[in-house]
Amino acid sequence: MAGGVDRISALPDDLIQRILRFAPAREASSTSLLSSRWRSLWRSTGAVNLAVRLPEPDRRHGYRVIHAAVSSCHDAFVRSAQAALAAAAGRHVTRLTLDLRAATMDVIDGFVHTARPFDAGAAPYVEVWERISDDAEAEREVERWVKRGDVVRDVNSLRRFAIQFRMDQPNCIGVKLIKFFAENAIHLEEMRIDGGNQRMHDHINHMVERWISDSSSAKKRANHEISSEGSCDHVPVDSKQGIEASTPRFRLLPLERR
Amino acid sequence: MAAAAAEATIDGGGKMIILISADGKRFEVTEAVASQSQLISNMIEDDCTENGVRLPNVDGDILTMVVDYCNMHAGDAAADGDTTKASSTEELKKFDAELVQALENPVLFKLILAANFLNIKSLLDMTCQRVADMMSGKTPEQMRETFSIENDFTPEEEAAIRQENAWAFDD
Repeated sequence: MAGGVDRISALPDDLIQRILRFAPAREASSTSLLSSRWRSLWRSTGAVNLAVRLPEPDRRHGYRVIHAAVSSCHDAFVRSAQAALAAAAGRHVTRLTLDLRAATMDVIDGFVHTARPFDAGAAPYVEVWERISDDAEAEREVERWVKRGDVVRDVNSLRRFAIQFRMDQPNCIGVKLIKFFAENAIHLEEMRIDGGNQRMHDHINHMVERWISDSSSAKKRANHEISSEGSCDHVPVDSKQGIEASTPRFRLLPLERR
Repeated sequence: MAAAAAEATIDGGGKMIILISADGKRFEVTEAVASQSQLISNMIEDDCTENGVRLPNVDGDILTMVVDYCNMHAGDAAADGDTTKASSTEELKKFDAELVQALENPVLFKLILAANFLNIKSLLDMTCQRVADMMSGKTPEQMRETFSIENDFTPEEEAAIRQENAWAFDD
């Protein structure tokens, strides 16, 4: 393609920004360096797409993931998430996605609980689905994660939220984030959840309903409604974005408040 | 496959519309197929499709792709709740994946412009996502190479941009 015509820069601003809405935050912002045409286009896309690739289990350590590796991954994530949101500050972020990928749930668990020593072998396999609503530990965890990362301080103005993760446990980070957003994102119009698991879909509807009604901030808003029936569809992401090829195709659950 | 889909719609009593590309190629499609384009849908409502719809900024080869896409997706919006949808969803996904994977410069950008002009949101999103995927994991230098973008910054300007946005560039 060398010596070819630069067709992408010839697109109108709104189309370039539309493209950047789909790009990971790091790549989107690094387009400021492409040329003067691109200098500030990425700033007004209204999207922050965070991607995390967690380390693989290490054979030399009995297939355990080393705590330090997860920790440094977590710190890097928090730093870049803060920077990405700060860069987008002052504008409405209308699309925030978090794409977490790891070989096992233990690793994701370690990522969430990274403040304490992490031992993959001893990672708790947690409980049943229904317990999450009264699971104080899970709540503290998400609070801490959210505070630590300061990832979602713009949550109030958030209108659409999409999350993609592999759901194996009832209190994995994806579920915690969904809960957090259900309770705090008062302007949320659409939440797309892609949990990779039928169980997720079966249970999340009434859980979300409860989280919304339990949250005081959400109570201030009248008339919110959860679309329940017929709200499932496939997430329009291409297959290679699936968290794991082995998991069932993701479900989409648009959550609507009016 | 596309022909079968079109036939089914004709049996359903759909009216036919002629689309005419910039280079004079003619495509006969049903209203249901054509109205996935918001532009054409509006024209149908305004009753101005009688003598064919001229699309002066869409080439025949691009319009062929658009028409194929619309034929495939014609049942999409209409057939909600249809029990046959599950299998066709799989088919559609495969069709879309193959279409989008095959797209390269310059056809990709022509298709983006066509989808934008015709206002077909799903096709526009899919093609924009494809470009974003091509950016993913690349450094600015690699992106310039992929898309033939010429760097018009001075080294000083470049350094300044790197500085103000350092998080995006450190590894």
